[in-house]
Amino acid sequence: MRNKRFVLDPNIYISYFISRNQNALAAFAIKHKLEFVICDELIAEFRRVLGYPRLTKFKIDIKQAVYVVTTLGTAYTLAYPIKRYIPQDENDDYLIALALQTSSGTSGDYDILSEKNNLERKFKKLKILTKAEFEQLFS
Amino acid sequence: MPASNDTIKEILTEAKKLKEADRQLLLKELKIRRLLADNKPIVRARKVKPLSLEEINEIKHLSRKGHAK
Repeated sequence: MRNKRFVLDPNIYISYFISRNQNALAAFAIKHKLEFVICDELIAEFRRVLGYPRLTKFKIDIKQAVYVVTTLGTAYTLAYPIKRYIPQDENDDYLIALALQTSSGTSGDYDILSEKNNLERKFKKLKILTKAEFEQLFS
Repeated sequence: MPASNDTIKEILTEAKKLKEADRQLLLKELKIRRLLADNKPIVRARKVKPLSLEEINEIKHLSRKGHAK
């Protein structure tokens, strides 16, 4: 049986990490045979956010954080050109594109969630979840 | 009707692919289990209050603006 695939927004990974809850994702992956889908663009953004000055107080081991995400995730190459999906922020489009390309569910930020109804109506297989809904599904 | 050589070859090729996929899945699971066992800390600071998802989201957007400059 194929694994359940999810594209997690970088801020979801960061939320788990800075709350020292990194093992929750690994445990979800094993217990529920989840496949976390990643791409170069997601890793680049993840790395960039972790390096942002407001996060330095956490003394984040960025190398280890990237290692964890790349170990948990399966890397795909995003197909270009990327269509416009999120009118409020085109920088989020790649997450929806990746989810559609890999038939994954996705969990995103507020701009993505605000387009949930429109996108789910348009793309029947697409499921956009909040972090809480994602956890409810697998906890 | 007996299966032709081509059909058998196709089935064998598919079986090999499946085995490879299973092997990859197993390898991935082992790596994740190793992560769990190692439990290396990502955040080294102690006693820092975690940020909310809203705050992290704000930082993500700020980092994008910085990146665009």
